[in-house]
Amino acid sequence: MNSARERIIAALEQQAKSEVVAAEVQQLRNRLQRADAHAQGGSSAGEEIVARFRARAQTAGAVVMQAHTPADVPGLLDEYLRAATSVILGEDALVRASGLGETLRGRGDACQVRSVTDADLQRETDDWKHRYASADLGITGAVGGIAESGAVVITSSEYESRSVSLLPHTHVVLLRASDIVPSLPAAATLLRSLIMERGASAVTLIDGPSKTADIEKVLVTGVHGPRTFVIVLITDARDDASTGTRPL
Amino acid sequence: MSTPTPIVPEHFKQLVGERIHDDALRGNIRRATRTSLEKRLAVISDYDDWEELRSLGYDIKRHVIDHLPYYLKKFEHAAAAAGAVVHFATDAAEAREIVHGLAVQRGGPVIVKSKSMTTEEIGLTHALEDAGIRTVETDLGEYIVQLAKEPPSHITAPALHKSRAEIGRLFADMLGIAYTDDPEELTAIARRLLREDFLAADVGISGVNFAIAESGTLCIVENEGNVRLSTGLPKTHIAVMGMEKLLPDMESLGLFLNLLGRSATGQRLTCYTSLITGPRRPNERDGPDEVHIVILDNGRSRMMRDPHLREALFCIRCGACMNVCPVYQSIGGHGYGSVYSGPIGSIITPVFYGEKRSRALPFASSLCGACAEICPVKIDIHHHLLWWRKSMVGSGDAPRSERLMMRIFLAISRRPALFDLAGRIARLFTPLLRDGDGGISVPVWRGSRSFPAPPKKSFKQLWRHHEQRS
Amino acid sequence: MSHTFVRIVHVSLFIPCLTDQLFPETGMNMVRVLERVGVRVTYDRRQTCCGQPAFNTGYHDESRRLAMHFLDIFDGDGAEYIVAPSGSCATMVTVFYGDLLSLPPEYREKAGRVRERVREFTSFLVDIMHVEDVGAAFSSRVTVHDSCHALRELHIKQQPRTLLRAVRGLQLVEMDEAERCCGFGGTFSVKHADISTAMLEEKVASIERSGAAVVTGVDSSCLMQIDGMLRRRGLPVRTMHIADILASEAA
Repeated sequence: MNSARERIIAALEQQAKSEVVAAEVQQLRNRLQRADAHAQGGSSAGEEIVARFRARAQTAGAVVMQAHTPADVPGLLDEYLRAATSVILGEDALVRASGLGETLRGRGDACQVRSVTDADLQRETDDWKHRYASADLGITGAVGGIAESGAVVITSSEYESRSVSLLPHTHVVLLRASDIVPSLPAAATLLRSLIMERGASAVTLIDGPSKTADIEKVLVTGVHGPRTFVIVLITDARDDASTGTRPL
Repeated sequence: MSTPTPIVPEHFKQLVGERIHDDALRGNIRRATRTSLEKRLAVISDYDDWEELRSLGYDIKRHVIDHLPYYLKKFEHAAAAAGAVVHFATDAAEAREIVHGLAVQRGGPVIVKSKSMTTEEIGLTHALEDAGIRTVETDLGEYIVQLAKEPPSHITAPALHKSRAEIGRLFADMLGIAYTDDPEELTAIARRLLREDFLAADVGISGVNFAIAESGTLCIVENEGNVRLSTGLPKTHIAVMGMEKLLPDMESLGLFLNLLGRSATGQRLTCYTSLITGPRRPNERDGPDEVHIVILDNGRSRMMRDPHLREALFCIRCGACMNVCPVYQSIGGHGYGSVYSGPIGSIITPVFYGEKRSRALPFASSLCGACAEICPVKIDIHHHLLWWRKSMVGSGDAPRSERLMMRIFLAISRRPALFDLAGRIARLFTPLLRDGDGGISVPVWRGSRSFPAPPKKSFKQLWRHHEQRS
Repeated sequence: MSHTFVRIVHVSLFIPCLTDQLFPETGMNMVRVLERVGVRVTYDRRQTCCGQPAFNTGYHDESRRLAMHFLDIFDGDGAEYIVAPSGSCATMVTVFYGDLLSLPPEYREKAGRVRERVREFTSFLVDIMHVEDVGAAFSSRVTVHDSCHALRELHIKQQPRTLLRAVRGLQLVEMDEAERCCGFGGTFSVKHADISTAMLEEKVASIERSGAAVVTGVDSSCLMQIDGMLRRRGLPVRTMHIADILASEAA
């Protein structure tokens, strides 16, 4: 058997070591941890982290709002909700806790309210993509935040489609402040848990609205992804808000 | 894609000649690279120990490359367990064949593609189009150069060499719209047109920035959203990756994302970072039904064999070396005549296209070392250029006149008395060669510079007087 | 002036081929400054070229022969230090007379010994002799061009500036992009004269913006490149090797 795979691996094995020494890997991880801790300046939790997250998310072009509890969210988002003629909601715990579905449906016909679970948004239905694309607003929950860059972490699951945060021109994400970690290396545990334990096929870090500088390095917002990106930080502490085991 | 023209000295001279006097082009490139460099400095100042991060980047990459078969197999196993189909391709032709085969089977009116230097390397888009499969480059910069029927001129900013007016003209001519040079308007037009293709496509093709061995995850970074749209909406996602893209785990991914964004575009993180592990799960509502990963060799195992070239496999394709290179700033990416331009391009092009067909590139540098200084994974690019020069001269690839001159210089310099005599003789000609600016005319030195007139006495002669006095 | 040496330091001169033939006064000025700070200077007239031009152009065999000639001269010559008025030549010996050149075994040993003793001139003064004020006087606005090898291989950045700040009457100004390559690069300046010239244009523009009357540095090769365009354009700026400035005394 001399497939491409066999030939490539054979060529590589002549030039490389075949066994990884665990101690070497651990040494690299320790150095990385130390460098990262040093880079974060010792801050690992609390207001400093949240403040840094806000500032850097704003630098990346996100609109950042703060709510004390999920129930405050509909009020905060009033302007965006009133401007939208069609909204698609994720079904994760945070979005449900915010009561956005009820608020929007309570407004009657003014706004078409959909959920990612609706039949005509499923893959088997014709034109499902176009329905997503014609929505003004997608609202989802995030599972984490990265303070050093102001990015949020969202994940695919039965409660969230990939499209709801991508096709509508405005994306609003709800994030618990207690789910913010200082840095990307510090988010490794969360990412590993989402991918290897929960089996999420698509975990995405989002840092601001879609943008480009491909024309003369002039920054333009809203290329292929959402033009407007809003983060609502929810500051109340909850028992289940621990990385890796929080319910979606 | 037809074989590119060999980048031998004559051809390179032509490429340079077409560009070096184009002040507008040089201005575009200068401004764009300067902006990237300034933004980079601003964000690396977040760290007071950026050097340690660079060292870690080097050490982690070296660890991976030193154990490449181990991590490759680990990645393959994990990706397959997540439901991806892993293919291996020894060279560009094999890779094109695999992708073409999949594309034909999966059908669809159009293929959407996100920016990938690896797919440029193998000439994928041209091959698909030649086979009658409509393939649309969706990254704005790539979309622009695709319309212009040009290759990209920079690793992360494909249309860096074009002004807004040129892009406006291009859109007006090729898309039949009213002329505008406003970046916002041009972007909105691209968004509108490409959206149709995103929604219609059944196959999406992407590259890979990092492949995580522990989980079989593909990490792809972008700012526009076209990667998410190309990889998330169509039923089939095909990812093409060079086999050196591996990282061991999520922790190292964190480090490398920090190195990449800051070095490439002066961002703390790109707008979107997609971590893709296999196709859609049964309980997920959307996402591709199939994910195919094409792992490419195409000369990389050859680079492993060479103890020096091995380091070039660490490259994370950030483009910082191009931004800082004064040669790149003078001639632009197209001036190199290769898919991979700038400093890193000069050292890996001879691997992909062959030494004989890339002869000019390692010599197109003043060896200033700014590239090595800025590289986030500490590749000693300028030293690699020296090794290539040695290799090329050693295998007979040098002009005869130059070889002769070097031999003569050696013969003279090994004999001190002869060296002094040669100097004295050369000085006799000085009065004949005087130019009007206090120097002498030396044709190879060119008219834009005066060459210093040799003084009457050499240092050795002056020293003799000095010795006698003391 | 402050020395940490009680005894006289013996320095052997390393005069690059370019300096010997085209800028001999710079070599002599370095000698004057070294003697002024109390160094005993000797010069072996058998030296010619360290092999850098051949090495940079890929001619390692030729370069190796010249390196061996160099090592035969300097190894065991009894001097504590070998000082050169050139960052690029000092780099050739200290950085590249190693694995890259594949010297035969006995020459590898010589190289090991010799490399440790080689210093670029300003680094020798500041880092070894701990001298900052060499008693110079030179009234002019001066800017420093950072030569690539000196900067990136030998980490020479502050030393020239430290020495210039102590020169009476001298006003030190910084040009923008002082660290950007002037475009010389040895044979590059001839093989790719057009790119070399384009790079030089940018450097000259930086110099003009600095408002300096004199541009200096640690490498005559760079200064030769820069001077070439200043002369051709008739600009009111001149180039001087730092040794030439440091040798200047009050009238």
